[in-house]
Amino acid sequence: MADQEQPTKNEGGETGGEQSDNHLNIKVNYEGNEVFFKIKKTTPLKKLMEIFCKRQGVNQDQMRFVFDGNRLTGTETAEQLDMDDQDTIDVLVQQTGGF
Amino acid sequence: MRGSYFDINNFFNAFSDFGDKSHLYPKHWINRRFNDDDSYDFDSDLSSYSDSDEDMIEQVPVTPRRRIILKKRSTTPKIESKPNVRKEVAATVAVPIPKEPTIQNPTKQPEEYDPFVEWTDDNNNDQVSQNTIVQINGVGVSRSSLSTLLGHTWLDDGVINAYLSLLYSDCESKNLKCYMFAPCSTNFYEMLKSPKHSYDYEEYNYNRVMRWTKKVSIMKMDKVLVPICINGNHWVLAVINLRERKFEFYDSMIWDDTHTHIGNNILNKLSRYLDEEVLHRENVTLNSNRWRRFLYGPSEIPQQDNGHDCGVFLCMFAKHVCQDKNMNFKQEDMPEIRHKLLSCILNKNCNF
Repeated sequence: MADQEQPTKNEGGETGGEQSDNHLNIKVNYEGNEVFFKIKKTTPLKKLMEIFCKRQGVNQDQMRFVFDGNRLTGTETAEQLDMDDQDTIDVLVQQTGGF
Repeated sequence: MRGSYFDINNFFNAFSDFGDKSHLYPKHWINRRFNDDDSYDFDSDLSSYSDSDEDMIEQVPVTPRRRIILKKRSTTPKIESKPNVRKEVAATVAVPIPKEPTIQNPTKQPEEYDPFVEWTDDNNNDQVSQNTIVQINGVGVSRSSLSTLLGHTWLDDGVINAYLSLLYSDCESKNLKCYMFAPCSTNFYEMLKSPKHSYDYEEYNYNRVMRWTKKVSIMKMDKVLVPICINGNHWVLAVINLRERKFEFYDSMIWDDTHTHIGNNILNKLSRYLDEEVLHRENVTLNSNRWRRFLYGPSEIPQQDNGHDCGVFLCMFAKHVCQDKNMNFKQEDMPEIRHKLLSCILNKNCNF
């Protein structure tokens, strides 16, 4: 289902092969569905998080973006997190419990 | 033109003809009968609707005054200096032309607040932590999370993760070898289990958490604490005690035998994770299935007697497990402990 969705911003009409050094394809896994994003290594992930929440129609305050045990706050870049191509960011929903 | 559909004068006059039964007849029958005297034909009555519709569209006779109006209409577009092509269009659609300036006015209104502002490099840092009150180890705790500590609200994962990451940094400073997957403690088990079936032994995915322990070796730890949200409504704590080679399960609300069933399933998954993790990192087979299991009962650990304090109990269990203390807190202390937890998170110090 999610394979069709490619919320990428093509800047300057580049082709996939040439710009592969700067760009990464990142999977975002939310409740078993995967959405693919193409991002720059130096772009803060806030952009990805906002676009994802906007597209899914969910409140960003209630979503937890987790990558390798790190909670993403939005200021990190893919370079800082040592992300590779085809890596997965998991999106989890806020948990509550009382009894 | 024939009579209108309902003429009130005709209607009241009709009473004289129909007597008391006038309400049984359709009103247009009454009108029709009144206008056409005696002979009434049903077919012609039906057709009269179409006739009357045509009557409504009938052309207004061109009076001398109307002739002047029509002349004005035809002359006004000629006065305007527009290209010749548009002259004919303007003549036929003469009415909307004066409305154009009124449509342009609303564009001059002040800019409204748009919640979906397009992201640019400029507004990178200003709205990152709009809701964040305090930052703990780089992770912000939002106002809505902190407010769950007040009153009788269920605690959410923001508070519990914040407290456990405080606890973790405290343990590091005191050389206590405890690990709790900070700062995403509560998400660890959620990732390990399948999203659908939380208790099924088969529903298990090591690959999703394989990279969580890049920087830390679990085998060097004494205790690994795993906070778990069961069914989205209950917080429990599972502990892998590597020093004493045992599993522990802390549940603040035990009422029947499902507790042992749930606890055993969770500990099954954790032992399976531990085996796989040790095999993957150290290349050692570790049969942690044989380790002892302690599913603590109501007589051994404090219990809650309401439906909203289990998150607080989880934080207290974690604190006492890390610091190897006896669990001497009770349900009555919980309102006070909630306030203490709040001040802990705001002051970034887990001890109280």
